[in-house]
Amino acid sequence: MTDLDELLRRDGERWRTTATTPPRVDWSALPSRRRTANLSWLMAAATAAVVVVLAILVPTWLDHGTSAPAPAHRPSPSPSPAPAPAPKSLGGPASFIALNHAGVTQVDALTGETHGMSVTEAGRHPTALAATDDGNVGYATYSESGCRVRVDRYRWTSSHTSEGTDAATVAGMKGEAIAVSPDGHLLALSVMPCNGNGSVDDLVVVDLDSHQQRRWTGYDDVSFLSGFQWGPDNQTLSYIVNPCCGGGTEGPRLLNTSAPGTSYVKPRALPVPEEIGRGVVLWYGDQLAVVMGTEIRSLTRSGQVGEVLARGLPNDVADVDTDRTGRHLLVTTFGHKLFRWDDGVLTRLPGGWVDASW
Amino acid sequence: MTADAGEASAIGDFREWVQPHLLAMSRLATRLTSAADSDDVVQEALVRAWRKRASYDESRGSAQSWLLAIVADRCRRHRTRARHPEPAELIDLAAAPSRDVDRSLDIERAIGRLSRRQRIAVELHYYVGLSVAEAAAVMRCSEGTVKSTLSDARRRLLPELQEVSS
Repeated sequence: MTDLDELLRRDGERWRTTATTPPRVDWSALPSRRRTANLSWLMAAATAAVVVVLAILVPTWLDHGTSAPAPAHRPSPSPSPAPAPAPKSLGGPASFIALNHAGVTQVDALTGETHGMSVTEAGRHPTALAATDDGNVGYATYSESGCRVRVDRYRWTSSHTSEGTDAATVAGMKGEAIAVSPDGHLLALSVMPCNGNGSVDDLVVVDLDSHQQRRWTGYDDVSFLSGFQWGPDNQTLSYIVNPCCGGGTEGPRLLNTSAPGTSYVKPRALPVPEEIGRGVVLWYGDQLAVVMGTEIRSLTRSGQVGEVLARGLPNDVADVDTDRTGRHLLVTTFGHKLFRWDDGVLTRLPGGWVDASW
Repeated sequence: MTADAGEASAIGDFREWVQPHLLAMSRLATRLTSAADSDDVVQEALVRAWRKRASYDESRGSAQSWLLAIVADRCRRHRTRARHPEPAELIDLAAAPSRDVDRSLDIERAIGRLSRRQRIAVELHYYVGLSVAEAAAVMRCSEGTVKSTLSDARRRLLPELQEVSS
């Protein structure tokens, strides 16, 4: 676990030692059941109608009749293979782009050493990262005043210096998920709408050539986006809609970004097994796939999990980024450890990176 | 048994059933609103839980997760109604050494800037003290989602708390 995890854990423990007073409860304020029983038939009917309306309007996450808080089941994790010592050549891209507290930097994919200084924008910290062109071009999002999210593009040259240019400016706040299509022409990012309540994300796709933007919206109340992955056709975007603490259906979805429509929740969530939940969905070559434990398994468009495509990933995978061949993966864990996976060979890379892409 | 006696008995049973979870309910309400509003929110949540108690199904989740989910919902409605921009001071100034107070205030401010989902995950896991599985049950999502949400939250907190954690 990270230092920050430990810091929060200690602060939480300290706070709980000060918050030990139970609440003052007026038990007599609980509504009387007898009052309802003594109402006239008209009042009883009205009460019943209110109950029905409430049952419809109350967020479904409080209604345990259909979807109760059943503890999620996770598959037994396979023993994690010991990371192999870095061989002289693993194939795949020579570099990747990574994000840490200092900013964005290019990293040697074999040694894990950084290429020069991290870049950032006027002291601001980027919130999301995507890369393309074998780890030579990176995109990072920055929140700006006036409810704008700015996307900067960095290209690393052969001398390992970067040039930052303004790639796009999108109306909204906190661009926390971002992905660039394999051909490098389309950029998908999530932003919170300016007039929103902070509990909803919009999906924006930017054409990096024409700078045209399209926007899709989600559920009205609570609707977060994550796990953007572009398909090999450069137009299908997979993502997870997470209605945590609100209504709606959790799960991966596939959106044809060239088709008409303005709702990213309209595509039906793939009915994946419950243990996958939000999970990590990716494109393994041309094949839609999902991370289950330490394996990558195929995933059909009807949500069925199929054959094992790859084994030997680390436990606790938070994100997977594939190169253009699908044979080389960058794997980040929830503990901010970074691995590369090359045709079954797992290699731990040094440093603590919160995101990496090539 | 008369109707009054029956109702009193039912309230007594409900009270006994809720009692072990009151402190956790109060802690979550305090974290998501303020110490001053916490009792009101818990009271509202209990009234709602009492009305909806017939819909609770123990085979689908623990009483604690069901009750905390109601508290979280009440907090959201309470904050919308009261238009609280941020939760009030949560630090017990008299009880904590000044260095801890400074650090906790920094952390508090940073947590206040998280998205709502990230904030609920952080408060449930780190401050109410629930496991990832328990937090998932409250948030009605998978454990993987809670882990991802906590990871996203830590990523967002990292630059703001870099100095505090070092």
